[in-house]
Amino acid sequence: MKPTLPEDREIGEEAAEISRRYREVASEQPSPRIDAAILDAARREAARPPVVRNWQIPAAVAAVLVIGVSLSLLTREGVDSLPPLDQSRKQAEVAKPSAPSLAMKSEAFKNDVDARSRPSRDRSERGDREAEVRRGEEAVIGHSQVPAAPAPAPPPVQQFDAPAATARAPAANVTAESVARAQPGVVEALKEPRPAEGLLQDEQAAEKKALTDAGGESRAKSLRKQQSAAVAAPQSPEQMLRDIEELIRNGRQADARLQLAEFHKRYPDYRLPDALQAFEREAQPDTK
Amino acid sequence: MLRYRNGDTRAFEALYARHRGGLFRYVLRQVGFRSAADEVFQEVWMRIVSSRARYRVEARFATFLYSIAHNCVMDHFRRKPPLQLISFDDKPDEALQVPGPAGEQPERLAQRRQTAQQLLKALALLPDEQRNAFLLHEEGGLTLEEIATVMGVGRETAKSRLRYALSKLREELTGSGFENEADVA
Repeated sequence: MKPTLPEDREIGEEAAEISRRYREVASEQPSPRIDAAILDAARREAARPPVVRNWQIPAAVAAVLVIGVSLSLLTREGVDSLPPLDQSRKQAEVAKPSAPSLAMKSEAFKNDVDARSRPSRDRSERGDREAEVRRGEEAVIGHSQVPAAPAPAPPPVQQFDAPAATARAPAANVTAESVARAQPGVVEALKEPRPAEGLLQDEQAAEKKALTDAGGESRAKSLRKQQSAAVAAPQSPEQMLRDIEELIRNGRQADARLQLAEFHKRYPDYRLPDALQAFEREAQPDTK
Repeated sequence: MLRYRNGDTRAFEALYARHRGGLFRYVLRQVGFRSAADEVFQEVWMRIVSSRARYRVEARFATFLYSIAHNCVMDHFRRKPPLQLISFDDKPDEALQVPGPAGEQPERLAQRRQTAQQLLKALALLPDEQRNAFLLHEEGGLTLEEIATVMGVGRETAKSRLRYALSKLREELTGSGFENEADVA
């Protein structure tokens, strides 16, 4: 049934006269040949059973299968690749201390700059003092007309057996060991027995000692700074622990303690391995 | 059409008989030539026949039929763009067959032919959308809503196109003694 709305009726009234005229004119019909062809085709089509070409259901099934299989494969791969729970916790613990690395980096940079600039200054100071020592020696030798004493050892760095040095435990010991490590020739020369030849030589030795004490101390200071700069350089906690363990293995307990203290400063929340904890416990009574 | 879907060929013959003339003229007025109109007309019915199994009742059959016809005409124009307008002067016998009552005076018949020629000429000169709206209304007997559905536009657009078409046809025919003739008729 053709719906008739007011608008349609209105249009129909408007078009009434034109429609009438048009219908008078419009009388063309398709040719009988075409009529026959179409009706034949319609009969042929009706004789065939209707084939429902519904592609939507197979397509939907195929899509569901493809998505389901790929999802299950992806899920399985994801489960396999996940780390164990305890491992991920350890990773999180390791990652946690590295968070404040920005501040540490800036500090390390500052220390690095200090470490680069100070040795040259120390070297120049040391050179001046050595020259003074040499001048003093020449003056003393020339004034007393005493045959020259056997050539003194190269400029000593520090009197390791001095009570002041030993009193500065354990950091000073570490410093001395570091110096020894840096320049073993110097330490050996210092340890050589010196001939004691009278008062002059004693005075000379005393003066030299005073001078070299000052020079050696400054040098040790610079080495300490170098060491602290090296310690301040960004280093992972694992690497630091490995270094400490190596120091302990090599028998450098004092260095190890120093490093351990530095490690605690850097990573206060980090849990030490059992071996290092034991070492720390052993070391604490010594320091006290 | 539902009966034809179930294998009743007589139902199809009834449908065909009801719509063949209107559909053929709709196609002929759109494509302009009888040969092209035959081709497009046959294509429309073949599509109807082949879509038998998929047919769902969503609208009147006329709407379904003229939607397919509209698409077929568009396809035809895509294949063969309309390069020239229909000239009724060149082929008056093919384009214009104006029947008249038996025993009509020759002058009266001539005037009727002239008016019809004017009407068809004016229709051919209409913009495609307006001609389409007019033909869907006249040949398909579609409502404004159905015209809008077939043309893929809104109801108001369809109404506006149809009104413009009627207005232009009326203007064209006013100058050719259309009103006088209408009064006589």
